[in-house]
Amino acid sequence: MWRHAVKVIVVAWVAAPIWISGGLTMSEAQQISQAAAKLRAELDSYHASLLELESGFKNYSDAVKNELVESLARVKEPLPPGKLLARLPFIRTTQNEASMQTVFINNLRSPHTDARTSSLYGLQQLNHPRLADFAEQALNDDSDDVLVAACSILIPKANQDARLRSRLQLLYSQKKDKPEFYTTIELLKAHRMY
Amino acid sequence: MSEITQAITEGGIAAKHDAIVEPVALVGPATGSEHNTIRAAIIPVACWRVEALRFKFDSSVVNPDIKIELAQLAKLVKDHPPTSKSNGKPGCPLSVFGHADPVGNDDYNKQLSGRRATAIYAMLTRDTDLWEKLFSQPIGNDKWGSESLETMLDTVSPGSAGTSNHEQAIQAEHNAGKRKDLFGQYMEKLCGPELKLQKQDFLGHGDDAGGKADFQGCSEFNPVRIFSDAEQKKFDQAKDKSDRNAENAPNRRVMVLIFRKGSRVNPAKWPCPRASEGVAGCKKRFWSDGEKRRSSRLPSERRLFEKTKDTFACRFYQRLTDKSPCEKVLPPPTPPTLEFVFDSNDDLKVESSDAVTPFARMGLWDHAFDPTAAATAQGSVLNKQEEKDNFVGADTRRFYLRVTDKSRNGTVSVDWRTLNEDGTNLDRPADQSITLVETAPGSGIFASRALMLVSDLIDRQAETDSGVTTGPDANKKRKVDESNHRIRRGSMIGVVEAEYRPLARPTVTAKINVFNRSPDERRRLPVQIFVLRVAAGGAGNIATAPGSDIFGIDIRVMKETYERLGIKLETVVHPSTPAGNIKKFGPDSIVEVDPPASVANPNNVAFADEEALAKANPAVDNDTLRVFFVRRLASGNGGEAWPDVDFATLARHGCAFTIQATGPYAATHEMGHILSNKSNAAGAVVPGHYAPPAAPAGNRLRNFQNLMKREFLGPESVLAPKRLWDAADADSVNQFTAIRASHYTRNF
Repeated sequence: MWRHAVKVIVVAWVAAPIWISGGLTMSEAQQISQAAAKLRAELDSYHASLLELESGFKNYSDAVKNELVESLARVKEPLPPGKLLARLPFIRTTQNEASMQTVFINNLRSPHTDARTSSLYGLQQLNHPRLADFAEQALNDDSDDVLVAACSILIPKANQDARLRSRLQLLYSQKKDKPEFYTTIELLKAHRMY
Repeated sequence: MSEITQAITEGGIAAKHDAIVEPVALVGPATGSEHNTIRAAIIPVACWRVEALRFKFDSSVVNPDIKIELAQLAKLVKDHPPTSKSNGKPGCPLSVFGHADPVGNDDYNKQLSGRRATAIYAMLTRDTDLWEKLFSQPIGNDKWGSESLETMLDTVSPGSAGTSNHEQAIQAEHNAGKRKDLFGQYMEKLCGPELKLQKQDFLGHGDDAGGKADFQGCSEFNPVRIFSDAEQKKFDQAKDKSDRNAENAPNRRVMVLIFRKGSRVNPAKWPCPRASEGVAGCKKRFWSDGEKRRSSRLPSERRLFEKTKDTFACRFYQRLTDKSPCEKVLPPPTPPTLEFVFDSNDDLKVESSDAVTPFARMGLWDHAFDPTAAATAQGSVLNKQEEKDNFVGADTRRFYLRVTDKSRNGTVSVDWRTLNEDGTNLDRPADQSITLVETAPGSGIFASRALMLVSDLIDRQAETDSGVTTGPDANKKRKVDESNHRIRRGSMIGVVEAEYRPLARPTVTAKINVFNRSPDERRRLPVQIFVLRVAAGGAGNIATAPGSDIFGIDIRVMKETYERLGIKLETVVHPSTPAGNIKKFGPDSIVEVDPPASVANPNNVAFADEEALAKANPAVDNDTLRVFFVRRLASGNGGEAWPDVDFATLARHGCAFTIQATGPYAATHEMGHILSNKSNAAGAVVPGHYAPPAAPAGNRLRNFQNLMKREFLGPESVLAPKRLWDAADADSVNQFTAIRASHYTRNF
C-alpha cells in the first residue's frame, strides 16, 4: 500500500500538481508553510517591528497567519515563548480565532511566566467565555506578572461578585508583605480589594 | 677620546679650562749649597659642576637624575684620565668643592656644603662608609632617613616600587648591612662602571683620613650671584621663601676640579679645612676684604662672579676657578611644561608635534571589544599592553599627558584626577599617578600612554594595562586606586586636572574642560518621564519613592549613556502638572499619571493606549522627548518608541514606552530610537536598530556592545550594550552625529 502510494505520487508529481486538503497544490502548501515559518520568526523576534505590528503583518495572507496559528495549536512541544504568544492577536483572522484560543489555553500552564501572562491577556483580547475561570485559577500563580494579569481581568467582575472579591482580598492578605508582588498589591489596593 | 669642551645640562656644566701659558722661569746657576725652589702651580684643566636640583632640598642626598651630569663627568675623566686609569703613569687628579647659598649661618653651611662634597666624593669612589656616616649623623635638615632609602630602592629595584620598596626602606633604616648594600648598588647605578675612581685619583691621594685636599666644603663664602639690596628686602619680607631659594640655586653647587696631569699636593699643607671641620681655616684664606666681597650689595643690581670676579671671599678658591667656565650662573632653565595632548596623527603615541588639546571627551569604547568574537557573543575587553589592542589606547576619544622637562630623563610621574563643575573632587583615587616615558633619550619630552574618561562607576572599575614596559608597573594590569590606572570618571560639566612635581621647582598644573566649550559642543536633552499608575488614583506600576530604581538605575543609566556623547539629560515637567503627581529625587523629577479612561487594561498597554497616554500627557514643547514607564506592552516588546521619521502623524511620536523589568538599558535604548530617528521601514539592514558595518576588516564596532542592538540588552556591566559609536553603521547612520543633531537636543 505504501509502495503503491509512493508510486502514485511520483507519477502525479510529473504529470500534474498534487491536490491536498483545502484545494492547495503541494507547492502552494510549501510556500504557505515557509511563509508561516518566516512570520513566526518575525513574531518571535526580541523586538518586533512597530510598522509590521501596526499593519497586522499585512504582507502575509490570512492563509499564512492561519497556518501559523494552527501549527501552534497542533504542536505541543516546544512551547512557544511569551513574546510570540503576545503578538498572536496581531495576526488574528476569523478563521484562526478558535485555534488561537487553543494555543492560549495550552500555554496557561507553560513553565514560562511570560507565556502564561501573554495567554491570559490573549484570552482577554479574544473575549473567551471562560476567561474568568482561567484568571481565577491563575491566582495561585507565583509570578507578579501573572497575578497582575489575572487580577486586572477579575477586578471588574469582583465589584459585583462577593465571592470573587473575598478571593482577591485573600490574595492581598497573602501577598501584602512580599515586595516581589509590588504591582499586584498596588493594583488590589487601588481597587480597594483588601 | 670624547673631547668634551663644554656640555651644559639642566643640572650642571662639564667643561675644559682654557690652556694656561705658564710663566717662563729663568734660573741661574747657584754656588755652594744655596738652591732655588720652583713649585709648580696646581692648575685645573677641566671642571664639572652639579646644581642644587640634583640634591634633595637642604640635604646631601643625591637625586637619581644626577645620572645625566655624571655621564658628562665620565667623559671628562676619560679625556683626563686619573692615575688609576693611566696604566701606572701619573694622571689628572680631582678635588671636590661643595658650596652653599648665603641663607643660614657660616658654620651650618660649611657642614652642609662639606656633606654634599662628601656625598659626591663617596659616590665616585664607592665609599659606602662615608654615606653611612652622612646617614647616621644627620645635621639640621640634612636627615637622610627612610625616604632617601626608598628613592634609592626605587632606582635600583624599580620593579618593587610602591609598598614593597617602602617596607624595605623602613627595614633598611634600621639595618646597616642592608643600607651598605643599597648604597653600593645606588652609586653603581648612577655612576656606571666607567666612572669608578680610586682614592689615589684625587688631589690628596686619599692620604688624609678626613679627605683633606680630596673633598671640602666652602660654606657660603663663594657665591656666584649676590642679590641686589632691593631684591633682598623683597625676599626678606616675603613669607614664602621659595622664590628666594630658587634664585639662590646657582650658589648651591658642587664643583669637581680636574687638575693637570701629575698634580699632587701634600694634604698637610692644603689650605682648605676638612669637610667636617669648621670655618676658621677657610677664613684664613680670605681676601683682606673677603667679607665685603661676599656680602656687599648694589642698590638695584645683582653682583655676578662671572662679570666682576669679586664675589668670592676665598682668595685660594678664586685663584683655582678665576677662569673656570663652570663658575657662572647657568641660564635659567626652561620651566617644565605639562600639557594635555591629542594623538594628532593617530599613530597611537604622542610626540612633540602632537597638538595640545583644551578639552577631552568621554571615551566611547569603540575599539574596545574583541573583534573575533561572534557579533552575537558578549566577547571581552581588549586590554593588552600594545596600544592598538588596548581599550584605552585605541579609543577615538583617548588623550595623553606630555611633560617637557630638560632636567629629567627616563620617566617622570604625573598625578591626574577629575573635578566637578564647582571645583570639588570627582574622581581622586588613592594613587593618581601615571608614568610618562621619555619620547627619545635625552629629549626631555615625556609622554603618557593613552588616558580616557568614563561616565559610569562600572566602567571606572575596569582594570587597565599600565601600558608601560619599564618600572614597577611594567606589563601589569592596574586597578582603581593604583598607579597607572588609565581611566577616571569624568563629568561633562567638570574638568580634568593634572599635576607634575619637578625637582626643586614649583609644581606645574594643567587643567582642561570635559568637552569643547569654545564653541560649546555640549548639548542638553530635556526629558519628561512618566510612570503609569496601576489604576486611576493608585500607585505607579513601579516604585517611585526617592532612591527607588527609576532614579537609581533607569535615569542614572540614561544620563551616563548620553553623557558619553556630550549630552546632558535633564528631567523636566510640564508646567500644568499637579504637584501631587510629581515625584522628586535630587535634581530629577518624574510624574505619575492615571490611565486615560479609554485604556482597557493599564497593565497591558496597547498601541491605542499609548496614543491616549500621549494625548493626555502633552510634551512641554515639540522638542521635548517623553518616556512612559508601563507595566507591560501588548506588543510583547520590552519597550517601544515612535520616532518622527515613521510616525510623525501620531500623537505619540517622540514618545518612548518602556518596561522597567526589561532591564537597566531599556529606557535608554528606546530614547535612542527617537534621538537617532532611524527608520523602522523595511529595506534597512536592521530597521530602526544598529547593524555593524562590514568594513573595515576586523572592525571593532560591534553589535553586542551597541545600545541600539535589536536583541536582549542584559544587566549592567562593562561588556553590556550601552555604547554608541561615532561611525557609520551598515545603514550609513552615524549614531553620534544623528543623536547629537536631534531636534530633541538643544544648545547648552
